[in-house]
Amino acid sequence: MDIAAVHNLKKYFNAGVRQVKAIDGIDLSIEKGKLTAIIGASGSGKTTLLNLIGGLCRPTEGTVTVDGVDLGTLGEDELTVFRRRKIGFVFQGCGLVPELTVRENILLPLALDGSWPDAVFLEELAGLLGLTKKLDCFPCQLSGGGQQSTAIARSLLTKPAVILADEPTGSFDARTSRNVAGLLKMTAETFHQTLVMITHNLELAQLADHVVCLRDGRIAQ
Amino acid sequence: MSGDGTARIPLLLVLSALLLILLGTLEFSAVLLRLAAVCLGLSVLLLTLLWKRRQARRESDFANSVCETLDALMRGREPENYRPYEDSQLSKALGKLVQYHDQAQAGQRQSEMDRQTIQELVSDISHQVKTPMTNIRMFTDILRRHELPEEKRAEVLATLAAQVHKLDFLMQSLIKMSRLEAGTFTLHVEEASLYDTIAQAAGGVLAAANRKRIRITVDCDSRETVRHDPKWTAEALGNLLDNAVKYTPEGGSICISVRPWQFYTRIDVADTGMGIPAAHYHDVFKRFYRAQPSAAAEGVGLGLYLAQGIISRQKGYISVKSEVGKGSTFSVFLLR
Repeated sequence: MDIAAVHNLKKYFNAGVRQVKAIDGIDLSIEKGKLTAIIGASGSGKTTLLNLIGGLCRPTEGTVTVDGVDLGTLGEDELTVFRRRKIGFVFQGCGLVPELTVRENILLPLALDGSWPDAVFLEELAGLLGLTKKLDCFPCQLSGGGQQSTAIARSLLTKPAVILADEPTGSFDARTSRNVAGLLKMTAETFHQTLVMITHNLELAQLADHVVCLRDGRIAQ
Repeated sequence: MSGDGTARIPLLLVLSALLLILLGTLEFSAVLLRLAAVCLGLSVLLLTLLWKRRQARRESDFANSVCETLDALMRGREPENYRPYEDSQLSKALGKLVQYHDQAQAGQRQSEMDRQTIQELVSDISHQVKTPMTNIRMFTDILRRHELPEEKRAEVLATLAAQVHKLDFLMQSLIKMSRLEAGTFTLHVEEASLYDTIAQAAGGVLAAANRKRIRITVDCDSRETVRHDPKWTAEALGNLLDNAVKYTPEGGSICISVRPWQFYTRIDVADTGMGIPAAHYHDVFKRFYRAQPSAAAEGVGLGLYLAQGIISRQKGYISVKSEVGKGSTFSVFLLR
């Protein structure tokens, strides 16, 4: 069963007089509960594809459907609510608020939605990611891996339809990369979450159930 | 839907009106004041009634929407009134209902998949058992019907014993696999010495490695401990080592190394065997998968499948990196 799908997706950017075809006609289905890795060289369109699936930018042509909703039919405000509820993001730079504690950072998306956290789930998640004793610390008191674990917990707590991870291990050394990628896979599997991960690391792509290779904005055969 | 705060507002307005009536009796323009107070009181009463009616309608609309969604979900239809992009309490509540329904559906799908897996498993098992059973029947017939010279007889008996051994190995593996898939084995995860677990695993392949003059080295701090199930982890590592010995040519080497990381403890089993093409990295962990060049070696294609199952039950994972003709490294990651 597919949780997200893109059809004939195109995204062109205008760079001066030149037109850059970042995504040039992609058809792709993301299977529910599975880990999909998107690999490809720099500039192949990986991040643009992820941004389009996550509704962070609009396509030039084609459709993006997430959890049965065609994102093209939503207005900006509706898209914001949809993203908050249905999509979890894990970025390369973690994106934590330095003034908030680990607990507050994890709860932030729920607070923005005016919802209460599932206390049991939060406890379970923190335990699994080794954050139980660090919930009252500030991000600067954690290691890079610890900060990314917080970002992973934040993306999972809203129980989104799909988690999009853009090079979640990109800024780490090989060892921390394996650590963080393993945690991401393990938590997604434990809670039956769908995960789409961009990586240029073929070794990490091995963790995926399905690998999509992009080349010049198209899916390489 | 109406809170205590909103219910108090009409009450305060009625009290204000009464106060005005009281003041009216004291002031000179008493008639006018009394009239104003009566009008105010009536307006407040009217507003209260309208407010109550609106609240009742909102509650009824909310309940109807929930019921409509439940009806649609129970009949397997997409709920028409659910808009996950609406910033409203109703959308939030319906979202939870849909999420709950999805989870229940996922459970049903899993049961269906399990049923299919069992069917495939039965088919795979009968296929695996067929060959040794045919051989056993054939060699037993030969022994029964023909008078063979002692030397030939010993040869047939040895082949027969090998087939029985293969069948026994297959049955043992199947029992473990069935326990793993049915989730009937209990893990006893404890903070235990990794060195001891590795020693237990390596002990199982030492004789076979000696026969092929394969050198096994272990690079592990004897004080290194990690939370794991020693018995089952030794079984998983044993399967990796068994494969390494099988596919490493005579005189080769196997190196086991342990590296404690921040979240995981990494155990590498590196061999100098035939290697695995990158295209088959995923396949090697599949049940009964056997790559073409490895088909000649003894085995049933369950070792890596079992190893991965055992490690992932402990929230760890296994990956492989290999170079054809040079060797493979299987890495086990155990959560710290």
